[in-house]
Amino acid sequence: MNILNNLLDKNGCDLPEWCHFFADTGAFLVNKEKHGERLVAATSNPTRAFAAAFLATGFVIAKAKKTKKSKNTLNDHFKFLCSQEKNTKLIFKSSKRKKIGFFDGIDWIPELQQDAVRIRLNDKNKTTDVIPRERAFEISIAPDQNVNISSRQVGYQVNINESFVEYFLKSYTKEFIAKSNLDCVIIGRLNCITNEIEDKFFNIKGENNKFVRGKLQDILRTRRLLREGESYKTDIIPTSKSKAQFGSSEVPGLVVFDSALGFLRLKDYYQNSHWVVLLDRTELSHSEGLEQLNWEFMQNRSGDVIKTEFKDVPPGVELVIYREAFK
Amino acid sequence: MNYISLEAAKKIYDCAKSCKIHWHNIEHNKFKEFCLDISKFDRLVAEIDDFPLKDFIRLLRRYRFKLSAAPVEFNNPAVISSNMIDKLSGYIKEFELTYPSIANEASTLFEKITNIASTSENPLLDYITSNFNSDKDTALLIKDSSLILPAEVIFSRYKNLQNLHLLRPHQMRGGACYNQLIVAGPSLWFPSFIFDSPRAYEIHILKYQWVKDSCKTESAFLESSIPKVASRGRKSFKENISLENVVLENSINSEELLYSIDWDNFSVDFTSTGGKSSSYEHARARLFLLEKEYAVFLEVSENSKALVIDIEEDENEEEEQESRVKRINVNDIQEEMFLLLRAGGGGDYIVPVADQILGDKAVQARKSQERWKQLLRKIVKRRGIQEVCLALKSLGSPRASETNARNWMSSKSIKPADYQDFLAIMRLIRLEKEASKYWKIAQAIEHAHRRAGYYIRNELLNKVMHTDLSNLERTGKMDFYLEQAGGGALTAIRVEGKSPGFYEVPISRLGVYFERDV
Repeated sequence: MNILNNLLDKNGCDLPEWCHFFADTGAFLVNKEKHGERLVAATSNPTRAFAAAFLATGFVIAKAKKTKKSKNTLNDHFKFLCSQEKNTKLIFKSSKRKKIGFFDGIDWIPELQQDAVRIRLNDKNKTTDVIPRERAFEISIAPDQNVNISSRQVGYQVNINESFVEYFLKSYTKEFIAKSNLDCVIIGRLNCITNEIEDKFFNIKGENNKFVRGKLQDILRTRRLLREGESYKTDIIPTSKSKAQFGSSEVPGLVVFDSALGFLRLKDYYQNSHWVVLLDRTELSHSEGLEQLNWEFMQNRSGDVIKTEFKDVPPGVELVIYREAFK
Repeated sequence: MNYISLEAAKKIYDCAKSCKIHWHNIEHNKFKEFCLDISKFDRLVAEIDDFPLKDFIRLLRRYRFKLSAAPVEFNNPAVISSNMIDKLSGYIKEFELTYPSIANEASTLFEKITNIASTSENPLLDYITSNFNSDKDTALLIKDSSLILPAEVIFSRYKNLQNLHLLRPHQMRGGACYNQLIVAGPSLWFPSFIFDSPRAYEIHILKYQWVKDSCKTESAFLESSIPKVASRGRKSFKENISLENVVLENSINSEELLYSIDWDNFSVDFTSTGGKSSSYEHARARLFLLEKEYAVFLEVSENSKALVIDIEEDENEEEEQESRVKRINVNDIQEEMFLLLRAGGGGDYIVPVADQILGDKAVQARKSQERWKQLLRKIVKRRGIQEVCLALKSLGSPRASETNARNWMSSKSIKPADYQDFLAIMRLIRLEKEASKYWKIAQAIEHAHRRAGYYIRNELLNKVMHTDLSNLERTGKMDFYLEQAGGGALTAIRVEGKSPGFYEVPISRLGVYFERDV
């Protein structure tokens, strides 16, 4: 499959095969999704390091590509924006900065021969910005409609590594960045996962042998590590939390339990999501987690185990994938 | 678990791919004879339930285990002492009178141990010095924490071994990888991840020739999604193995060689010798085995909590209550957590700080509290607990029961939660007129205890946040000095195990850590 084709490490060297294995496992799950059933995958590994990060990345990219195929276009997004009630709070791009304003209606720009979304700021002059249809992906609905809008808004600098993301998602990049969707939640040690997705840089060899630098967070867009209002695709829940941290209406597509401990503590809160359970054999709770996982397999499995065609499975890694009916 | 970099993870997978496991059988005829004779004697007296006999075998087994578990001399003080020899000698004299039929065998064993322990031979070390050197980034894995320091001292004398890393099994959970890992003892002594998630390119298992060892790999999951052709699963021990383990006729299973705690005898040794023996001042407790051969009893009632450092938890958590330093139910304490106990084995760490908060009033407050409790205990002693409970109920106590009455009498509890219960007690002990005064004092003590707990935890949190805990992980024990919260110190010490059952322990022994083996 090779979903992270040509992703190199910071020195420009090939990534180890196990990184590709985890990413491809994430992508494999997207291809096996079936209505009415959820997927449960589990691996047993010699270390937890980077497994969740790559798996989530593979899943998010494959999900985006699948969504792209379902013809969600610029025009659809523009129509969606225009259908909002007046005064709906929108996040939009204004001179390389992101700002929040109120949806104020639709305008026509004769010079461009295009209709446009009119957004009103909260300043005393009621300044408006007009964003034409062709730039509709620069506008998104503010996830928190109760957010306060300052009357002296400066906005925040947009920090999206578009060229890195574009390598994987091509023309779908802008739409991908514009929309929030909780594709995946990783449950694990916050510091470790943050280091892996935010502090580790990779390279892609682009055109003219130029390297494009980026990090997994550029693709994962983890909500916890973004500013309020920025569009997200994933989130991280620390293992130590006693209950789910986001609104009950938002069910992630996939939950990656990046430890047996996280799986044992929080699995009951995610019965409507696909699961990936990453069991590190050196972890203290490993045998407990494995026992629980095998019990779940015996009790809830629907049909045969799903076979993969992975040729290069990393040494010391075991994998099982099966389906369960949604409860 | 600490962050592991991509480069370190790459090494881990490289080790998983190419790790070779070698068995090395060490010979020593006298020690072999001694080891096999202990097993024979053990089988001979298996049916006899007698403390001196059990203790005699325990001491022999302990010596046998420690010599098999680390490259220390036969006469090293860490494995044998003159006290131990005297004790064994005393038992021999006793057996001549009490068990004449086995006295001869016991005496022979005693001769053998004194013989062996009179020499400074060290077969494991001899093998290591002849076959390994630490220039190749080598680590030595030792099961027993008490043997690390003695081994360190020995290795410091050998130039070619001075850079050898001495490690405990839990230290193999991280990202550090070595060229060679020497394992002191049979593989079955160690957690399976040492071998199926190796942190070395070569593993060398050093064991005595007469010790049986086997290796087994099992699939984690009941079925697999990986095609058989592609599976390099968990390393089969049968691949890349040299010096295949030879099973001899006269041999011992590796599990038999392990020195395991005799929980019943443990409780007899320690619980009957400590503190006051009033039956009302006992509590139900679990025994926790700690690093460096310490142990501690902790009460296990529903509300019993202990302060721990859990290195597995994230740092910098948003919610203060979920952090590395936390109060958890005693039943939830796991191996490899670090218990926080009063340094120097002083028991309760809250009371001294609470007394500081109470200031001048502390002495009088404690006296007052002890007075009404003592009067209650006297009445219970005279009339029996059941009758006292009935009497308390008739005097207006809504919650009088045997359990509650014992708690109210105990010096571990401050006061009943409900004033009505307290008033009933005051009526019973004829202090009703002063009930209000005593209640206020009890409330003041409770308030001081709560503030003490708060100060201690806050200061501790601060200390832990600014302390390099890798040292604690490595050594298993560390003191934290609390200047702000009334001075004194808490010791963090790793939990190595816990008893399967419970014991009735004098309250004065709870939370006081002590050395296990005398």
